[in-house]
Amino acid sequence: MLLFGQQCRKCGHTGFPRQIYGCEMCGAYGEMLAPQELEAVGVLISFAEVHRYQGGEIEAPFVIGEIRLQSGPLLRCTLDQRGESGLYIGAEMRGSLTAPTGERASELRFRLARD
Amino acid sequence: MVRSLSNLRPVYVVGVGNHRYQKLSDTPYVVLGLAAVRAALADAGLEWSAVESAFHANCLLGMSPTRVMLRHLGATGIPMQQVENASASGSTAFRNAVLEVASGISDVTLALGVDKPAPFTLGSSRNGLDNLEHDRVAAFTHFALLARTYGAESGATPEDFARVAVKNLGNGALNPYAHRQQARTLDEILSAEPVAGFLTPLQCCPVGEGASAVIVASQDAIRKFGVDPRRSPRVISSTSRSERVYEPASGFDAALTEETIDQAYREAGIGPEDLDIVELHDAFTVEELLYVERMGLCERGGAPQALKRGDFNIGGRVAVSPSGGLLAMGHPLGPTGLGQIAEITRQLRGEADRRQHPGARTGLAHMVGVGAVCLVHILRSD
Ligand SMILES: [Zn+2]
Repeated sequence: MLLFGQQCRKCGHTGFPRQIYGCEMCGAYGEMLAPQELEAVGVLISFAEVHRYQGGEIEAPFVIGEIRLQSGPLLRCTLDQRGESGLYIGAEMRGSLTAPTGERASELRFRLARD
Repeated sequence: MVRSLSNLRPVYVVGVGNHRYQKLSDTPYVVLGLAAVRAALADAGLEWSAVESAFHANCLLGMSPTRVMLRHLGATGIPMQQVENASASGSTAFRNAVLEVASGISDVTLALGVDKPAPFTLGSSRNGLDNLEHDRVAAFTHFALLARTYGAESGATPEDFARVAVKNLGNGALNPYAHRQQARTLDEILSAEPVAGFLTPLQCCPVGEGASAVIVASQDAIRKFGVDPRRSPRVISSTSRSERVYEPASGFDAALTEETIDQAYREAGIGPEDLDIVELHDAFTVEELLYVERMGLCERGGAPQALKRGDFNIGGRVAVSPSGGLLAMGHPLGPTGLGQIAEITRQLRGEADRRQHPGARTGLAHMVGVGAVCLVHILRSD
């Protein structure tokens, strides 16, 4: 599974999601930001089960994880699991396409890599 | 930066006023705002005609709500403008007012915060970029994530976080302007179902309506209008920063706070040991633990123990959020940062009634706003 990010040709900073507006580290922009595919693997930095959600996309409760990709960027993503059990800071995580309800189009979620 | 506030002419807070923070009601925002301004004018002993400019902090009232409110004080033709900077809107309006007087452009300036809850969209949702979190990370989830990380680093338990709410709701129960005026036990706070992670509803601030007004003035104006200088604390620092790229990338709120606070201390020529009063952005309990450490009020990881010892109580080593903070006084957005200045001013004057921290002489106000921005002001009475 790959994520679309970019690497700055001027300072080397790796960013996600992909954009050509400008590098937040050094300000280089446009073609100076080279598209880069980032492996959807990283380490769990934090997590929280969410019990209240006012959006319409999915039903609470769901679990949000904060993951630092091996390539550097930090991202937050819905986790492919119920409740917080088994999660711990430092756990290896891997992203994959899942169809959580069976009805909706699949979306990218992270899960414990050992599962 | 060429100059800081300490290089400009002195600025003093001469009048403060509030309309109580409360749940959304049918009261027009105009009524909320005028009540706060009239209270601040009366507090200073000034007529509206003395005010030379006005900054109005709000996030949710819509375009140009200011003059149509303030004209009811008498349309004197003074410059007026709206100020929006998310949670830090009120602090930003205060900074603008302070800098205007400090620079000599005016002698008496009003900073007013009035807001009412309404549906809103964050600009970042229109930035044209996709992310993986969609709209699923509300503010309480952001801080639940920070609470988990902080808990893992410091050993803080859910009880340690809830103790912040016990203290601040207790303080709010003594504050007639507070949205929440009921003291709560640790049990009451922890027994509810969490909104996210281990944050329960009473560990999240109420967002309602209200108003706070602060009038700042120069020494010339204090003499000219016969304002009582002993009731007029001086603003000895005004600092404003925005987020950089931090390593590690997590916990930018605390890192941004730390560098803004450091700049404020340098500018004021003081250190954390000089503070008697701190009003900080405790929209969620975890924030108080994070920020008191970054402010140097205790060692890193030591906030839960210091809180438990009573260091941050009214009458403790330094009173943190004697107003009740955002958790109890409330967070109506535009007014919040100005409500902090009003509380600090009352404390430094010795006029905080049952909330009075003995011997209060120096106070610090801190706000962060989504984006992210951070503002810090330090006030001192002689
Ligand atoms: Zn760069």
